[in-house]
Amino acid sequence: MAKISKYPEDTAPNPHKFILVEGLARDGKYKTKMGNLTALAFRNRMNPVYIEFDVDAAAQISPLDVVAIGAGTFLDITDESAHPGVWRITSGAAANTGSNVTLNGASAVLIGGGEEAEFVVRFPTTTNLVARIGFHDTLTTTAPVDAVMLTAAGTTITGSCRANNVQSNTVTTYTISANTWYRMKVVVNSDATRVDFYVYDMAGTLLWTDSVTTNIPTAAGRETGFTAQAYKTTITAANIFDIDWLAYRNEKVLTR
Amino acid sequence: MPRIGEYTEAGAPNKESEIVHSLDGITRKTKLKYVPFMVFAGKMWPLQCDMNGGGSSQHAPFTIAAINGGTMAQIASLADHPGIWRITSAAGANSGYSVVLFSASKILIGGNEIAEFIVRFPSVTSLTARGGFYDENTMTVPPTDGAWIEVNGATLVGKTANNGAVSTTGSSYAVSANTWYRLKVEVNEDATQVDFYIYDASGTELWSDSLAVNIPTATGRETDFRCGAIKTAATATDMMDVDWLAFYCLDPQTR
Repeated sequence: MAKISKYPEDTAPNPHKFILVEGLARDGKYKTKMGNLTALAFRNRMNPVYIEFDVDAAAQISPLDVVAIGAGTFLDITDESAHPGVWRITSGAAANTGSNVTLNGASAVLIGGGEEAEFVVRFPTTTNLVARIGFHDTLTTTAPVDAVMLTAAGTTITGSCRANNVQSNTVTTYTISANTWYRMKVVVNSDATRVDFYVYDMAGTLLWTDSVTTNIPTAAGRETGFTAQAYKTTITAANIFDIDWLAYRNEKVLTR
Repeated sequence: MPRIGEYTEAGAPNKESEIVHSLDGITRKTKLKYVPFMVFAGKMWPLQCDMNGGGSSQHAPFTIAAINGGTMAQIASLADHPGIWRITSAAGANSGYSVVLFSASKILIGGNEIAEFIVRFPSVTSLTARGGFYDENTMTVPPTDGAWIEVNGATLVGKTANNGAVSTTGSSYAVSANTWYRLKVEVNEDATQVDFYIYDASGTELWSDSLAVNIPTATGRETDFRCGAIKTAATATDMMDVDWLAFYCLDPQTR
């Protein structure tokens, strides 16, 4: 019996490959065909975008890009064992400076249901911090026109939906601590009628969740982007945002 | 119950995902402990791009290349087409754009290569479009080596080329403007036949044909992976929208 998850190659060409998986059946282990899992591209699923940030140049994080806000910077810093690859946004000497890591297109995403944005981030300082992460269409300090995002203003995390400049916020908020790693998640439900926002600690414990059901930008013309942005509103250069990992997925089965 | 092929993420992070599949006709949900994290040296990793990057260098591993001053830029996404880039011709004739994998011929067809494209043609007037394996970027002359789908005006055919000798499928398909299609070029396992397919957005096969001659498999007959469009007439027009493309190989590699 092969070990669970061993991937034996068949000798015949073009088979559906066998892969051994751990089943839920009472007889425990069985071997099943999972050909599509490894061999094929998935046209019915958006190819997930995820970056580990274990590279040192912006050209290496395609399809994402780095767009500075003023004199802010976004650069590789020293890894940690549990965070293999970390990039840091540092504000410049002028006010309202920072950076974006972004798909760099304000029309890259039309929210249609099933979109998920997820980030593992840390805020070295929360003083005069503004961070927007998720689906939004601004690369500057100006508020987005359309968005489904988490916003950090100082230590306060809020979930928001924004359609053509009309915004709804979560009723509750969460207070973050400086220099603490969090996993933050934005989840659009399958029919795009509700957006759930989550904050977890590094043990996977849910620290906060809330949702919004109004002003979800789903109409044509309300396209948005996928961006993590941070800047500092006051005149001091400071480390404001560390990012270890991000992901943009779409759970929807696409008709295409 | 999720559909077969769907996966659900466990509630806590760093836990295994589940995938729904069928075994002996029974739908099961199974934990795949390591599969998403495995590296498969014995199989070419599928290359695919959803075209949702906003910059011209954000389509890795693919790049884009201008043809006689044409342009290619992101347009508004659709819910079922997350990320679309549009090729627009310039005022001069034979202008457009290509999405390419290599800048030179480096793919040697050996069997089981597949090229797929989800595209739409805003206009088919004076259109020349190609998708598949081919080694020529101007699209005004035939490739030297390749196996590709070609659209001239509204007429879609499959073609192969081996050292300049070109074969064309006996049948063709009439495409409509402003309609999403999935185009597929599939080389069989021993590279003796190439099948060409066109599907609508719901996955219904609209046409297929095949060629068994002039398949470029010999050393020196390397080709490329590309898709692109030009307008042969001198008018700036939106010619082709690209939503997704993929190059993958079903054949296990001996390496």
